[in-house]
Amino acid sequence: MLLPFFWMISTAFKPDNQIFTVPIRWIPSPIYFKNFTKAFEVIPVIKYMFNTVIIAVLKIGGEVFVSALVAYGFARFDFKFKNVLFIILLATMMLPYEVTMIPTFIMWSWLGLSDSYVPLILPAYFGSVSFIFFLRMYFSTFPKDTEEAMVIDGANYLQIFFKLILPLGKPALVTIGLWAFLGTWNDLLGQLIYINDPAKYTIQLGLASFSNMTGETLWGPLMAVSFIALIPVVFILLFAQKYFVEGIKMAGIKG
Amino acid sequence: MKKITGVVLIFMVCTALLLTGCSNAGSRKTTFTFATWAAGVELQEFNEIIDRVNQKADGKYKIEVLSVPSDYYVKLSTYIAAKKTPDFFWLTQELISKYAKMGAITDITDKLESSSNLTKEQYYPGVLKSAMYEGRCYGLPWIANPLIVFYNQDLFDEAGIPYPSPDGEWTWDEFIDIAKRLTTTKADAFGNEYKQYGYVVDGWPNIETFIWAGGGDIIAENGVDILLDSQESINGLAILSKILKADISPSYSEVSSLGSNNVWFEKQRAAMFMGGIQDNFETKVSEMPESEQFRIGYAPMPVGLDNKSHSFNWTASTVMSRQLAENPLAYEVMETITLEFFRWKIAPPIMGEIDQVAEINPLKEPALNTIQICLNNARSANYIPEWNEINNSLWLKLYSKILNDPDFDYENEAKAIAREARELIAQRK
Repeated sequence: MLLPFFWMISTAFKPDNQIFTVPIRWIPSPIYFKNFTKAFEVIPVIKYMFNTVIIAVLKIGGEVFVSALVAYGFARFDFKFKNVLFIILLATMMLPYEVTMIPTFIMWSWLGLSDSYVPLILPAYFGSVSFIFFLRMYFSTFPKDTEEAMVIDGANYLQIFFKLILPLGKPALVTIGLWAFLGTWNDLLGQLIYINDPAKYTIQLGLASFSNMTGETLWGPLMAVSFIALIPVVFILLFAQKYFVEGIKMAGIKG
Repeated sequence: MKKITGVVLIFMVCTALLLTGCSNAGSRKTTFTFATWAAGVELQEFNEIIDRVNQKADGKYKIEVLSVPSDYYVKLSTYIAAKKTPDFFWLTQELISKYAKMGAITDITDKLESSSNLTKEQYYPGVLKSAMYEGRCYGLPWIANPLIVFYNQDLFDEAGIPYPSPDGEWTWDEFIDIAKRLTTTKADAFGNEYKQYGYVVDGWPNIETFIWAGGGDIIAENGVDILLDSQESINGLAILSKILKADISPSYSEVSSLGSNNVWFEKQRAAMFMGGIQDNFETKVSEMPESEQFRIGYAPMPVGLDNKSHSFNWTASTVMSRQLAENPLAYEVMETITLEFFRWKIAPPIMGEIDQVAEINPLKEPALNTIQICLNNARSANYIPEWNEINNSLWLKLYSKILNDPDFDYENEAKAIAREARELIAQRK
């Protein structure tokens, strides 16, 4: 898994003629920075990263909060058709994006919202099925005693959610926040379908701009941008690592 | 999964076309959208062309660019299904028949015949044919990229082999013999041994190249008869098998070790390469350190068993949405843009413009004679709406199997694929 990562970094600092040498020359000599300048000539890297961050941030907030709220409902309340509703919810996971892509595009297009970030952000505010599933399992592991004590003390369900469930669920929330961020950062198809204006492009659409129409790829600049694009992801992963591991462990999901 | 997605996309597209078939919304519009797969630097160049056209139009019409840097056909199908078909867009040759049959694009035959700015006689016949379906024309090809043989003159000199003629003929047997002589074991500067091959084949060139070399074809010109199991086609597959058995090409799995097939030629690990005239080896070699540079020679594709040199040609055409069929301005716009494209990429698909190739890319000047011959011989397969399915079978059940096992029974498999193709065509409505 680390080899492609090293290859990417190494290629970002290599001139073209060193990229496909056999055996692989892992350490570029001399270190070649022109791939970075070339990359910035092809696409406005920083602008595209900024656009992606805007989408990711706006999306994560809604996705994490709404998913947690719905998961809390499924984990803690007994109501009619609860299991049926949950199965229906899970069933939507079986539909691949390609199948729902055209009908949803038609809908957004009818609303006059294609070529904007709205179709990429707004659906997150209805929650994510996989996150709801994950959080429901996580919340189900919490002992009910404290909640019952809070009810006796006069707390309502929303207060329990905000004051107990959310703080206790921090590792899981950080985990799904990370997944949501990575999903947005690496999403190509959704962004490709909805965004037309190059000024609104995201980093993935920018990365797709390094191949020409005969299929030739500018490997050096492409790897340079991939390297830059990876920096925020690595930082966020390092920052959230503690919560991430804990969240996975407590929900009992194995990689 | 891809197949299901494809079926869903086609169903949605057909439904949308059915619902919008009678609409005349496009008949009066003067602002047009042009969808392109150009991205990055090419998009900047494309935008300059469109700006030029818009300026010349002087307010008569305006073109807006819709760039699709990846998954072009997924986005295009989605837009068609959502009744947002771009007014003009590019289609590669394989898809003209499919989109024409779906009713997504306009038949421009009459407009092309009545125009004096760009006539069908100007086009290389093999190139224009790739934009036709059932005898009607659906697009204006704006680029031609036929195959030629690039060879490394330094490696030929080293082996004492005379160069193939840049404008003469050579047979596939001669080609294979030369490739055998160029296949040898060498050592790099550190004493590590490596094998230099005479040629490289890994699914490219496409299977048509070999089938045509035998005098055969996959589908007849009438778009109905399947010729894949004819003796000529089998003879062509035998040429491919012979190349692989002769060990003049790295194995299929080995090719990817250098990234892609063209790198074998660039790294002087393969002495000959069949590539499109657009393959920019000249620039790449000129940018290499002096010690790694080599001289490039050019030769036409070898002559097949039918005594013809067939040069597979990749062409993209500008097509017009069906919505614009009644728009009096649309063809003029399409023609104007296409004429501008001729000065952009090599090679212009029209005759008498060979010098344009050297103007666009001066490093290609030594190749002009060969390029001219290949353009004259340029052709594509006879594409039909079922091409995608047939081509998938050709790759998965035939070509990839031969590449992995040169002793593979290609004759029986070709017959089986031909049977399937006939059944598929029989279902055509």
